[in-house]
Amino acid sequence: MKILVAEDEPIMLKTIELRLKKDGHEVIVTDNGLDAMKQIDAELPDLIITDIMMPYSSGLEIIGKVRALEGRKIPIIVLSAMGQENVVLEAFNLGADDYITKPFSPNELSIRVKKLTHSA
Amino acid sequence: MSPLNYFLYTVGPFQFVELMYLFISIIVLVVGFIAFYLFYRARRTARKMQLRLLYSEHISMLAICEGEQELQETIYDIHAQLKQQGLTEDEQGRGVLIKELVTAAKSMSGAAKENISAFYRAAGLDQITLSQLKSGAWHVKSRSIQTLSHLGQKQHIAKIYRHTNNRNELIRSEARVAVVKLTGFQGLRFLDVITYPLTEWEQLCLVHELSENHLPDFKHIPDWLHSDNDSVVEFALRLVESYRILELHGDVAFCLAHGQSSIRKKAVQAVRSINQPQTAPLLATQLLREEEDVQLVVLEAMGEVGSENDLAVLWPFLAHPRTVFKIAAARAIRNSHPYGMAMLRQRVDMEVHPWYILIPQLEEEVNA
Amino acid sequence: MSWQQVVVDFFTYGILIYSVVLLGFYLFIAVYSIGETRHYIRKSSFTDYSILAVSEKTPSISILAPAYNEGATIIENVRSLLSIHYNHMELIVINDGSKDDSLQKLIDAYELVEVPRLVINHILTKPVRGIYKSTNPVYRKLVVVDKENGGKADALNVGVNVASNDYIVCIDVDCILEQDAMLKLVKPFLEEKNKRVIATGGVVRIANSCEIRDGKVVKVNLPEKFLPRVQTLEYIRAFLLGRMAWSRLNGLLLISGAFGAFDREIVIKAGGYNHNTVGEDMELVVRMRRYMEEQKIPYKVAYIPDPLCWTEAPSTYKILGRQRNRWTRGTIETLKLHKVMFFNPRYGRLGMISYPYWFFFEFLAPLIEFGGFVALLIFAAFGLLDWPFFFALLGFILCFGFVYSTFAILMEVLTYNQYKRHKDIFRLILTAFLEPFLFHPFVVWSAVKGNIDLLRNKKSWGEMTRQGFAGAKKPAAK
Repeated sequence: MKILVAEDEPIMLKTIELRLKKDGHEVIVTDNGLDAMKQIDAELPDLIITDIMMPYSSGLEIIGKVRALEGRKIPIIVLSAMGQENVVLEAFNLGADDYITKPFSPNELSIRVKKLTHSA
Repeated sequence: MSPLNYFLYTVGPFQFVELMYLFISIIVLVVGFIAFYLFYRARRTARKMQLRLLYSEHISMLAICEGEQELQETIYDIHAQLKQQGLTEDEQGRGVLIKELVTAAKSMSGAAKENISAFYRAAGLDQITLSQLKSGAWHVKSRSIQTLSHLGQKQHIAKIYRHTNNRNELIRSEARVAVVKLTGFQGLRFLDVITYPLTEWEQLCLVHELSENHLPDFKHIPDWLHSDNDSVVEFALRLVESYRILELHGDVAFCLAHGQSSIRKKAVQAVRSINQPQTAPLLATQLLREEEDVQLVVLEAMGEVGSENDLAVLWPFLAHPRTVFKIAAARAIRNSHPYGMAMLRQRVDMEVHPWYILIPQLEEEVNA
Repeated sequence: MSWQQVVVDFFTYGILIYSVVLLGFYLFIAVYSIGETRHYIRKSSFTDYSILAVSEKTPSISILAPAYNEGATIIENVRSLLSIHYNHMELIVINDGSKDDSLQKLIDAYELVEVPRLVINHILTKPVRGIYKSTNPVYRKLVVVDKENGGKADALNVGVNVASNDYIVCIDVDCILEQDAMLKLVKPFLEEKNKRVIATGGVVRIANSCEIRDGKVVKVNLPEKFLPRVQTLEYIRAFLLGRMAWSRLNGLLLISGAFGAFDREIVIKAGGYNHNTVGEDMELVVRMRRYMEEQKIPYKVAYIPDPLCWTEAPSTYKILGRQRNRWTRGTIETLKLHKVMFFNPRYGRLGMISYPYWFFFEFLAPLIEFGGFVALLIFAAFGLLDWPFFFALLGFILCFGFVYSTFAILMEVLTYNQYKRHKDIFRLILTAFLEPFLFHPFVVWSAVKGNIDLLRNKKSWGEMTRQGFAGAKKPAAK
């Protein structure tokens, strides 16, 4: 399965990439919101994992734009340090499928990805 | 000759020329230094980026290790590789590595975080951080405190704890946050003894820290609510509010009689968050004896905790000379009674300012 | 001694003392700012600003963005402001009776409807015509106020009245903010326990030639044109050396109107923005400080040196001249309104240092310089000039200026280092050498014209025609 990860912190990005590859996924990485949108258009990932606070374009904008696209619904997991109720609600309202707050456990992320892709 | 002419004569044009030479040499030196520095930093940054890339590979390998054996093998491998590349003795290299470990530990939890801490200790990096803790420079000290806490080095807590009342505000602030990060509510015992105040920023950081997987322990909050250090009282009220500690209602009520109006305001917020049957009558009495800017906060709270029994104290405020009071009271009335809005419409003259616009506003607010 | 001698001596002594004190101040500012900058950078190197983004209980802010005939760009600018990282905020856009279709554009783009709202006139303003909010929850932070035209100060006052939060942040609607700008700007309000922080000022940096995409600065470039480039240097000197030193002294008088945060309660108590001056941003800070001094409440005006706000600088002499003319009038009007503080010990440092400094070295400097130039021409015409002495003195002053500028560039390189291409730094140094010949005389002349215009009581706004950002070459097609 092809997963796009948008996260601006290099170590996090690398860790998520390795963890998901360990599970046998194909992983595309990007460190900013603008590039993420481009990659989504070009690579058509099966799942998106995105941070909220990123340079150039916030993760919430990405969710909005992806959901505005026609066609199949790509599952989106938000991975963010922002745990406030209103932000979480906004993410879900915009169409996120899951929300993980940082600090997070890579193992938990792996399980959640599995869950989401099996039910989809 | 006047003294001025004499002065100018002796200073003369030529002294200015000499000063000019001095300035020109300064300019040449500064420009030269800029050039050198830019070159030097470009190289240093390039190396740093290279190191970060290398370390981020290692650290992410660590983070995804499963089981003790895989972890030990990975730690051994990484250490061997670093040694081979001569990075274990390299000061810049170690500095970057520690920083990267901290960044990783900050945003990870569970096994991943423990693996990172284990590597930090196994590589002997904690000894370097400890030597920095002895530094006389505040920023080195503060950073080392932060590093130890982010990497979960509980064994050094005593060394950190003694800085929680340091006279340098940045050191003590880091130390306070660090002990709470390491030991949760237990770490808060510095509140019993500190003499320096807790700034809003520190309170925010502490509450944030406590919210991260620490078991709540409210034993000492009553003591802090009665502390002589006003900022400790404020912080205790904040805890009551964020954890909605119902059983402390009595102690919070005690703070409603505090000498500082800023603390009484916080106390109103706190009782509002732990609303119980006795809360509304308590606030109603408070309302009548308060000074104006606390009254406003009480009125706002009444909007949440009030019931039809409290309308009597609220009505008079509709005639208050200040409009902010009219608004706050009207909101409180609207919220306190199921027919609050209708009762308001009956009471006020819809033709006059501010009611002709305020009543529609209050109605719109409920619908929005 | 003849009376002529007395007059001549008086002036020569006066000018000499003046110059020595002025140069002394510059030296002091340069040296004094170093410690403060270093302290700030060290402190923020281990500060986790994101705590402010992720906490529930952060100070609430109202961003005030006055707009007058900004229809061409308003939709994009508001979108960019709405994307700022901050939780407890509302964005209040004040349409100051625009003659274009700004309001209708906002209504259409953000699905606005008029809502009944009682606006309390804490500060007296021109009438409010209506308040709009979005029906779409995505834009719940947006409030649009439509009011009768009354100028920028009046628009900001309406914003202060409408604001429902504790702190207000005033910005120019066409400024580009970094996404963490609010977090950094708000933090100083949380750091003092014994003093009340009444305002925080931020840095304004020049965005000409920078690459802008989707309302964000993607790549920082040194302006290509000479005028914006020399202003870049000017801003570096002012923000990195001048304001840093003044902030260390707690003597800041000016917070850029383009980007600053204020304690709303104190703004209201001090009476809000004064709409009778063209320098409303400086005047407000002076009045708030004066209020605090008079109430004898310990206070502080904080300053954040991080480059957080980007703006377009005038790139023609005509627009630049109008801007400087307006600044001069603003300074004079402010000084005049608060002249009671001049060397008045009752006002502490404000009265004894800040005010006199502005009077002597911001207000008088261009006049003295201009006067000196006229005197020079006269002396030269009558053959009275001691040419070697003149050139020595001129060279001395020029070199002093170069030292100061190169030092400022050094500080920029050592601290924020915005210009990543080494070539840019050397171009900036070169610009410093051209400044006294191609830029400075014009600035002095504009200031003198400002004085003249003020005497003639001209109150026009000095319209600032925007030229559009360099990034507009590749517009975000949407």
